Amino acid sequence: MADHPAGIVNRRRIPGLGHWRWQRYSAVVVLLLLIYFVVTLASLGVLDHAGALALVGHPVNALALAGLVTIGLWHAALGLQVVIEDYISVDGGRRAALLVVRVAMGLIGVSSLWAIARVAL
Amino acid sequence: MAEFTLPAHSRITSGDHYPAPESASNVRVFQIYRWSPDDDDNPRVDKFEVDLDECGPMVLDALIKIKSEQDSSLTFRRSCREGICGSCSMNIDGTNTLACLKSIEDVKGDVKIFPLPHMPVVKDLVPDLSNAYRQLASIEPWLKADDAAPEGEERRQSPAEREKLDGLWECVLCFSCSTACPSYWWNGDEYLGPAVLLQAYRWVADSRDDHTAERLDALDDSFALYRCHTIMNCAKTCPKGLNPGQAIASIKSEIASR
Repeated sequence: MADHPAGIVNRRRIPGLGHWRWQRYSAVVVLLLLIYFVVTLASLGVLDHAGALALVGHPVNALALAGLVTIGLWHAALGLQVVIEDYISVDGGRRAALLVVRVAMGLIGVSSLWAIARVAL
Repeated sequence: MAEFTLPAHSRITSGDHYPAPESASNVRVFQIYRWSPDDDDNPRVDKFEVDLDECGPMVLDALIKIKSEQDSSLTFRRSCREGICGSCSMNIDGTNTLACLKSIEDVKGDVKIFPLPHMPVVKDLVPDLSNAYRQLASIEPWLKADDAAPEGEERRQSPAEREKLDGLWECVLCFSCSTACPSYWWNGDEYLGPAVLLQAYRWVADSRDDHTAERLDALDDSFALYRCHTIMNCAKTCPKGLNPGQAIASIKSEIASR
């Protein structure tokens, strides 16, 4: 396995296959879960507060919503990583921006899962 | 961080005007980027009026006529004048292409000619391609076989194996594609760009090469390869009609399927 990438930079290789592959896998899962939720919401007709609680309170829906939030945020973090790596070339700035994005996605994920758990459990 | 202002001496100004002879009846204006490292002047765009009745049909013909008859200091690369050497790549009418393959007739209005985008300029229409050539050298674009060729024979390929190289061997390394790629503009120091990656795949796809795994290892890098976001400017601009984006996708596919 080559230590250095092809090209003119002198640094250790950063394998890219994992990121590329998981970005696509997560996109497919998010798409399927989104279709599930759109179809479920469309079949409900009028959706009031009690209806929303009942929807999220159903174990299958709660699990699917938790999956959508978790995998969706992961997919967003992977996508934003590409944007940051493309446009921020200063190494320190790039790392700081990546950290901010990951912490923000983590906080949004934890608070979303907590909200789902409160309704479902 | 991205720079949002132009460095000093990079704002383009209006330049000189070179009128056609009074007897000319079929005149087209060529607006050509000019810059010289020998003075502190900003780049400028000179306007040359050319009598197309006295000129060959291609943009390169007009450039040679201008250099011969109007301004001998106009600087550009050219050699074969038939799309084989890849020397005369430049931005014509907003698209990177070879001046020798671009018909003047295909351009509407003034013919605007600039150097390949986002590369340092040596002079006028001559870009500095040093980094691109070093990146090309880094992928070791030659056959790497572990065994010597059979005595007195060539290394054989089946017709099917040879067919895999079609669409790859035709590349003339003009770098029109790499310099049309936004990912290469932003990260040209790390991203290899479509031209070099197409060359890399040309050797990955070659059945006679014994170092495919080693080549794919070196290419599996977040910046060297995966900066390609399938924008596809490369395929759109290639003057030879090749598809570097497809070659890059094939490299990703080869790495993923190992």
